[in-house]
Amino acid sequence: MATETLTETRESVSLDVPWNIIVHDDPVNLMDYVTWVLRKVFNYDHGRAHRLMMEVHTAKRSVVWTGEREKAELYASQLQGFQLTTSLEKPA
Amino acid sequence: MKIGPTLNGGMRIDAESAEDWQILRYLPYDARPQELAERLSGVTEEDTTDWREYVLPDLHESFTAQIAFVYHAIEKAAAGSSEQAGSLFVEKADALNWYGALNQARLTLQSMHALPQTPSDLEGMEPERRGAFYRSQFYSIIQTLLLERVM
Repeated sequence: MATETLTETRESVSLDVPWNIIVHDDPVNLMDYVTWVLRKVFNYDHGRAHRLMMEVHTAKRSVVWTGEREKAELYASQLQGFQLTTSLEKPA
Repeated sequence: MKIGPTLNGGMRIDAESAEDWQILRYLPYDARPQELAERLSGVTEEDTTDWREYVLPDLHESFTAQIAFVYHAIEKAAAGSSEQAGSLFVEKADALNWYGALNQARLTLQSMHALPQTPSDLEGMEPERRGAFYRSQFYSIIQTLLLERVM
């Protein structure tokens, strides 16, 4: 008896969710340096960079950028290159 | 030791004695690699395999290069002044190497000695920890100058 194999292909498409880049507080990095790095990496104006830095300082962490994963990974590695403790987080 | 900005946007460190060169030599020693790159990845629930494979080696290389750069700059300047009074120039283009090495030194000292933010209880401190505190403060002052005047 002949056996017939059926192959079924299913496609699943889901929207790419935005990722957060988190900068964590640490006891060493100078506040002005954190501001300087955020301006350098994201091209933020001084006010925005300073506000995010203050959030890192007071809340111990801050979401400094949100967007597609590939870009988030690139930015995160740049922040780590400047010695900021950084992680990626998928929003809940 | 005197430290100040230069007219061309850099910074000059004037060592006034052999002891000053010894103090400067602590910098690359204190900054010696202490798994800093690993610690820079914050707590995350995501798989870090890719990060370890692709990002970590670059971070290691970059941080090690910063320390090597500063080590050679200090040794060259010290040799050029026969270990006596002499100057060490930090050019604008090299500021990030210096800042990075200083940061690594402070991160290492902080992680080894859990240094206080203010010098309130220095009297009761172990000599080694007290020395680490003063060096960390010294590095922080150079970083501030770099940030305000050079970078």
